[in-house]
Amino acid sequence: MLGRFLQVETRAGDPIRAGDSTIVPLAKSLQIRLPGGRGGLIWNRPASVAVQTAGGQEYILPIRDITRQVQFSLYAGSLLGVFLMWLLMRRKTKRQAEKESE
Amino acid sequence: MAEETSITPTSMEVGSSSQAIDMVGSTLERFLDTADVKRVYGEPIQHGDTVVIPTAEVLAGLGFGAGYGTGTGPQGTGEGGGGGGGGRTLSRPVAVIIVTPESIRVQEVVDPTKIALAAITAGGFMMAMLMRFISPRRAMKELKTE
Repeated sequence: MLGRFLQVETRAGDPIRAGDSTIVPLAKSLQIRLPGGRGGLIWNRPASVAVQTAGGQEYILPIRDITRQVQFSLYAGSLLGVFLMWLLMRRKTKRQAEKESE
Repeated sequence: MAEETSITPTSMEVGSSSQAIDMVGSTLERFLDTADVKRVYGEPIQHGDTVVIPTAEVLAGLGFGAGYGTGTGPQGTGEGGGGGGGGRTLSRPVAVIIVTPESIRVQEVVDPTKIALAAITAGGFMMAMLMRFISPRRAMKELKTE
């Protein structure tokens, strides 16, 4: 049911010959389809490249999105900071209330 | 004369509706094409012994709708329909794959403007929440409830 509207897949592109090596690009896409085929959203991003050298060596080179990682870290850090501030303020208010009741 | 006026809009409607269907079809095709790997990896650029492959993140959104209805008025019964839609595609460079005779490496592309905007947003959110936490009105309210 959910698969009809939400789809995550990794696709491999055509191999690219660069020098003595062959590179296979891999992309990860997230597809969200609106009910009734009234549109949708596609988020496509590079995931990694599979490299095959002339010597037969094969390895994967991941592609990291530094900008996105820093953005998410900043947002997550601010949420964590606010949560910690809320905890500290709550403790402070409780202590004040206890002192006043004594 | 009346016949002419009734025929002309009908033929125009038929023409325009098929054009609209064609347009929606081609737009959908182009939209689904966004999920293709070719949209994310650019054409390799050869410079001497070095090959550079640019990569980008692509985000595309599309939405459309259509309606049809009939109605009766003082001049008789009529029918009509309409539709509309919109979409947007955003693209942002993520990294560059550099292939030299010695090595293959991925050079990440860092966007300082986006990072600065995220820092300002996160900092602003934290400041706003801090101001709210330390406001005397809130402290009084919390003391009263406890």
